[in-house]
This record gives sequence, C-alpha cells and structure tokens, in this order.
Amino acid sequence: MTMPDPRIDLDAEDRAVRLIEQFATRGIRLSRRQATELASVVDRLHRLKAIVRDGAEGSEPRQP
Amino acid sequence: MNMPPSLTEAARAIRAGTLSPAVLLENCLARMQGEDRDLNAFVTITCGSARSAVQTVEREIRAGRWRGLLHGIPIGIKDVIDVAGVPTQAQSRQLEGNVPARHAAVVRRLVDAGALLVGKLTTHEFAFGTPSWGPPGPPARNPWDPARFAGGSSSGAAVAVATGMALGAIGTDTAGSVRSPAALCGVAGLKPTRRRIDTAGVFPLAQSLDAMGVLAWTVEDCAALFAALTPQPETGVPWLSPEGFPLLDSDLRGLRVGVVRHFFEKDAPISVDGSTAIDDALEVFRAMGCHVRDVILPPLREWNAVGMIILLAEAFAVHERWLRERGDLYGDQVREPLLLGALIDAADYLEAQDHRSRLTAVLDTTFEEHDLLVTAIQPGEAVPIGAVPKWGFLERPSYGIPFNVSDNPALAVCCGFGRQGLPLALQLVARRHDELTLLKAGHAYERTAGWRRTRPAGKAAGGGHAATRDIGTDPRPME
Repeated sequence: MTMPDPRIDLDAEDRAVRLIEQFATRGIRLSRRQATELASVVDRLHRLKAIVRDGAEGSEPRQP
Repeated sequence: MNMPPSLTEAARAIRAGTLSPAVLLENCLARMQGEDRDLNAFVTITCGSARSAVQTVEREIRAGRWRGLLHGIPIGIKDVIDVAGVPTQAQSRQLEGNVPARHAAVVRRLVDAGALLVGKLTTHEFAFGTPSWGPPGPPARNPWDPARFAGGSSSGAAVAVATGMALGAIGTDTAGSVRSPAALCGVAGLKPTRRRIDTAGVFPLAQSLDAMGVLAWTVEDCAALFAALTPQPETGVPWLSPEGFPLLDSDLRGLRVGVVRHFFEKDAPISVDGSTAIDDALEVFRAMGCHVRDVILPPLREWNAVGMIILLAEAFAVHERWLRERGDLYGDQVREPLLLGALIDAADYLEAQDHRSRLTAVLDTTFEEHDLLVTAIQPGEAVPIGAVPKWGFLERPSYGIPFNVSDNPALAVCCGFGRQGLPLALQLVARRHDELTLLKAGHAYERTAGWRRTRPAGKAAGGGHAATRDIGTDPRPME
C-alpha cells in the first residue's frame, strides 16, 4: 500500500491557508473548502499568466 | 404540430396578411407549454403582456401600419437584459426581487419595432461558468436530447429558437456565449462587433469583451434581428430591401476564405465528426467559387489566456463588493471562478491588454488578404449536462474567445450532425464592422448545405415547468 506523500498534503494545506489570508486582506472571507478548491486551480491560473507574459511557446516546460 | 416558420418567413406572411400575429403567438406559447417542462428555456414567461400587445399589433396591421419585419414576431430575452416590469435575476439569488423600471436599449428597440416579448430566457449565473443547478431555476437542456448540455451562457435563447418557442432571441457573448449554445442546439448565432448593439441595461460580465448577440433558426433571421437593432452597416452597400428585409443573396465567387485549421486540428483538436463536417462545409464554399486556403494565427492557447485573464479580472471588479458582503448568495459553480479574479493584479491585467493589441494586429493583417475566416466553435456534439466541468474554462481553450479579444464579428452556423444525431457547427469570422460579408457568406452556405430542413423533435403535449413564472398583465391559462 502506498502512503500519501506528506509533503504534497502540507503544500496544499499551506496554499489554502495563504489564500485565506490573502483574501482576508481584501475583506473576503474564504471557507476552508473554498480555499482548498481555489488552491487546486491556482497553478492553472499562473499558467495562463505565463502564456500572457511569454506567449504559448515561451510558456512550455523547458526540455532537458 | 407543424414545423415553426423562420422569423423572416413569418414576417413576410404577416406583411402579406396571410399569417395572424395572434395565431403565431399562440403557436409559440403552445410550444412552450409542450416543451419547456423538460427544456427549461424560460425563467419567466410574459404571455399575458404578449397577448395584450398582440391585440395592438393586429389592429395596426389591419389598419395598414406595418412597422417592419419584427412587427408581431415573438422574441425571447436572456435574463441578464432588463425588460421593464419583469424580473432580471441573471440566474442568481443576488438579484432576487430585482425588477427594473426601464427597458434595456436593445429591448426598447424591439418594442418600438413591434416585437412581442414572450419571456426571459435561462442563462448561467451572471452569464458565467457552467450550468446553474441551484435556485432560482434549473439549467436549460438541449432540445435534441434533454440529457445533454445546451451550451452557455445564452442557453435558453438557443433552446427557445431551436424549438420555435420564440422566433428570435437576444443574448450576450463574452467568450462565445451566443455562438456556443447556437452551435450545440443547431441554430444560427451572431456576435456582432462590440457596441454595434447597445449594451445599456444589460448586466455586464467583462466590459471590454462583452457583446450583444442574436440567435435564430437561420442566418437570414439573425440578419433581420441585427438590422432591426442597429443602424445599417457603414459599407456603402444597401443590404435591406425598402421594406427592411435583408438582401443576403449574393455571388460568393472570388471570396477569399482563410481556414484557421490549427485551432481545431493541432491546438485543441475537435471530434472526427466535427472536423469532417468543417471540411465538407469548406467544399461547399469552394463549390460556390470561394478561394479557400489555410491561415496561421497565434496559437489558440495564447488567445484564450489573454481573454481569460481579462475576463476574470473584469468580472471580479463587477462582483467584488458582493463577494465581500454576501458571497453566500452565489451558486457554487460561479462563486469560486469569480474569486479567482482576485488573484490577477493590475500588472497581469495590463500585460493581457497589451498582448491583446498584438494578437489583434496579427488578425488585422490576416484580414488584409482574406475576406472571411472559418474555424471551429465547439469540440464536437453536446456532452451530457452533468459532465460539464466547473473549471473547464481553465482546461480547454475556447474557440469563441479569440474574436471577443479581437472584437471581430463572428457567426455560428450548423454544418451537420454527428454520430449521436446532435448538431455540429462551424464559426465564420469577418473584419470588424463587416457583418454584411459574414451574414451573406453564412446565408449562402446555409442555403446550399440544406441543414435547415431538420428541427429537433418536440413533444406533443405537456405543461410549463415548475420554476417558470408568468407575470403577464392578464394571463390566461394556456390551451
């Protein structure tokens, strides 16, 4: 049986807590469920930002 | 029940005195009664006020005062657009009890043209995200198979015109919200150049991308609606008859058609059936004498990223206060996507607008050598309604959003049926403000291809669905 990688859980937890704090500065209260859900898609938002910044080709993961 | 007439067929018959607007209205209302329990196209049916208005219309026409091609035509309005005295709820509890005192500008034009407003049409909450399941009402369902997605967010509009519950509908399009439901429901959907149709009195989603749009059974019907809602295009070419009917019949020989094939074959591949249907449609354009060749634009992901960053940032700006003060009144499917906009800062937004200018310049250059572009609008046939992912807009690029980013007029046209018997569509795009070329090309294709002979099979009888309200001034029970 494979144990879940605790680092992944901690990262997800950490991201959710940071989002709760970040939204609180704008006066928006996030529930833990909302924060966890948003944390799960933030990477995809950052990818869109990278495409806007660098173009679709420039945002591709670099090949070794 | 016979196949409903197209909008322009009905208008010609009303003009000729061979069709009574009252009979036409009752025909549409009977279709609502029979079909809308399953399809949820309407959130509010205004049959009382429509029946009252049609009496005036009948008197005017009998007295020889025909106002134009929308006179006596039943039209539906997406529920983000204000109709005086009728709730605008945008499918959200945030707007519960919101009854505007004034018509939106587009509704004012319809009323002045003598159109009969038959109701407010289902949308996704605030015209964003995925189908809205919670209150105030269920999502619209595809008339070709009610287990399927009707597209969005002008979903009720596409369903209403596909089934003949209305002969035309007014929607809004920020990232394909007119063209996508039109495609999935097998009707024609036009997103004109932004501001060609006035947006005053319309709840915004993302103001630098939002455009009004029209949906109807045929391209000619869309042209009729567009003509009634906007001044004639500034092309110097008369495109309406003295009576106001669109003059779309034209010779397409020599028209230069560019195919943005990489959008739907490489960047985000569509179904085999969809791809074959587009190729077959291109053969029709070739047979009509068009010069067809592939063109290369920046990758679809780039258009999509730019459009989505702008959309999310602008939508968050509209909703920030409510998200802070009463976020619990949003449905789950739209609250978190709206919140995502808070994570886009001013630099991100300005970078996206800057990138938008560069993309638009590339497209403008392409239009120096082409009169029309063709590409996909949907990945294939409609999926099961429960299979529409909440975060799908971050996963799969939209074929519609490039032309909101660039502000070019675009048209969805049915180009056949897939192996599940559901409609397929192609997207036509023209130069900014050149809706005439777009509509002529779409009309010529539609006439030649012959897909307008098949309509969704409706139910013979039934009743209005439970969430539909009738706030008419003198509602009578539907027969």
